Amino acid sequence: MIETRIDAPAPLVSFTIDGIERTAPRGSTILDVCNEVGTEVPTLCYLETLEPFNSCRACVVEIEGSRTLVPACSREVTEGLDIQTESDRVVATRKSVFELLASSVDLSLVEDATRSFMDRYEVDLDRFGTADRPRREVKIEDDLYIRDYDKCIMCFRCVAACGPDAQNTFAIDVAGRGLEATIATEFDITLPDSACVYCGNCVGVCPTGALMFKTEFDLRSSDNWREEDQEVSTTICSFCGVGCSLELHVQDNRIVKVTSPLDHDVTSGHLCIKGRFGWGYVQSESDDHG
Amino acid sequence: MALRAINEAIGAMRHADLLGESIAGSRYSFDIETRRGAGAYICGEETALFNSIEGYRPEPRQKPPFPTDAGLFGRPTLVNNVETLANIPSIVLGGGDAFAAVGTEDSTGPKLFCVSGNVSLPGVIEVPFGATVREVIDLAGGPTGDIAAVLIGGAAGAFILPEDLDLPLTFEATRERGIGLGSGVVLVFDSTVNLASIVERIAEFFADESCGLCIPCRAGTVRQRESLGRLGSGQADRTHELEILDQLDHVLRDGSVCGLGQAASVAVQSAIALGLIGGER
Repeated sequence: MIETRIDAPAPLVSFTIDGIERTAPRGSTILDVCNEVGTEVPTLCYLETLEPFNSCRACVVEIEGSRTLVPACSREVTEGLDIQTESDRVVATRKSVFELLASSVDLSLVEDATRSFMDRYEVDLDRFGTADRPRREVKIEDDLYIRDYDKCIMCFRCVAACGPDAQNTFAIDVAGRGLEATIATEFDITLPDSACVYCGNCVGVCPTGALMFKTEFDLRSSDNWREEDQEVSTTICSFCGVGCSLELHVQDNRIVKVTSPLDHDVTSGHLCIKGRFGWGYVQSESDDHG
Repeated sequence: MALRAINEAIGAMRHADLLGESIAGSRYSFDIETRRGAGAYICGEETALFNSIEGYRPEPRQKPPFPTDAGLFGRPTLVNNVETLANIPSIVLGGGDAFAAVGTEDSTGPKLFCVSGNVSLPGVIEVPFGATVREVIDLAGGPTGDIAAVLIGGAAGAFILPEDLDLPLTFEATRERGIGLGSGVVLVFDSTVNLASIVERIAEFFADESCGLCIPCRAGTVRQRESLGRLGSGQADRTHELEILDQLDHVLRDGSVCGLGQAASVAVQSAIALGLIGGER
């Protein structure tokens, strides 16, 4: 029999968000509470399946008495906190964060939620110009996925997913510093030569299209990517007994992308090379396979 | 040289059985290990220093947790700078009261200042807390010309004007003025210096030393340098550039992960506030 340990519920702490008194179990983050009560907070680097990385600063909120703003994604609520989620300081900083990003990377494929926050804060994309901005070529090194670091906002999700938070492969990390900092393999060698195992989990967590499946990249390049025409079929991976849930994104009766739901308790959104890329046989048009 | 001196001292202590396992036959064990830095400014940020010592990139960690709860290798950690450690022998030998008798009521003991720039004898000098900027400059041989401004606290510090040279260099007096002692740097500029290029150089320094972890510092330090460049060229719309610099000041101070980004606009803003740069031409 499998023993399951059930901990006593965490004690509640009381605090104030935007003037309303709230309680939450100790250990909850400000973002957890905001999500619970329906207060919208923009996030870029945060993903619920990864440890908070605190790099994007889009989710900052104001805490009474704190010298600086604090990231909602990692700061835990404590007794008596007085939190403002959209004070003038918060809005000014979020707006500046988006404007600084726009001045240094290509934001054309950011998630819809991010775009709507940019509209909400009246972000001026040309506020800082683009005088000094690294220009990076798309890296196409294999048939599975591409890396377009011109679109990379350095959220570090891919590094976390490749490393300690999911895959434990550690094929990529940060190279360089300041505005020149970028994500790279060791000594910037090509992906096929690197430690990469092609699980595609980095692509699965990328919020800006900097990492993209080759199928999607090719379709986008030929202006044939039509997300609105795609159907998503849910199935279970046929390769082994783990039972990973797959979402097959199908366009024109062809699989164009495979993902897994973030909230799936087997995968947490992560797959391996077989589930992620090993679907070619499904749509083989050759007669050889009988 | 400092490394050799400290390693020789550690060797002598170990030889005298004052370091290591079971010191002098007691049940008490204590050891000291030196680690060399490689010059990254960000490693002055304690959590970036932890990462560096642990073998990772020197990127700061979000606080809390504070080092006293989870620091080096996740253990509670006490961080002291060299100056603090250097003060301990005199406290042990002479007692706390004697140490506290030096200096002012709220800033006790002796204090090291690194005096540089347009002075005759630049170097590190030691004075009781409470010495004024003028006294410290005079101890470094005095200025080599008419003083135009003094930068207190280093690249992350703030400028003062010649009429403020009688400011006592204490925590309380500088705090009252909204500046800090920072690294203990007193950098003197005489009237021959182009202060706009100095401020631009400071901005360049922060852009170079930013680790690139957080967006405000990664891009903001570069945009600050660019804006100062445009301001200095005289071609730009002055009001617009000052607005940009003010916006960057807010996002750097409020949004950056660590002290490097949070302080990257302090010298720039103090130079603007004092009219040293950005004025009408």
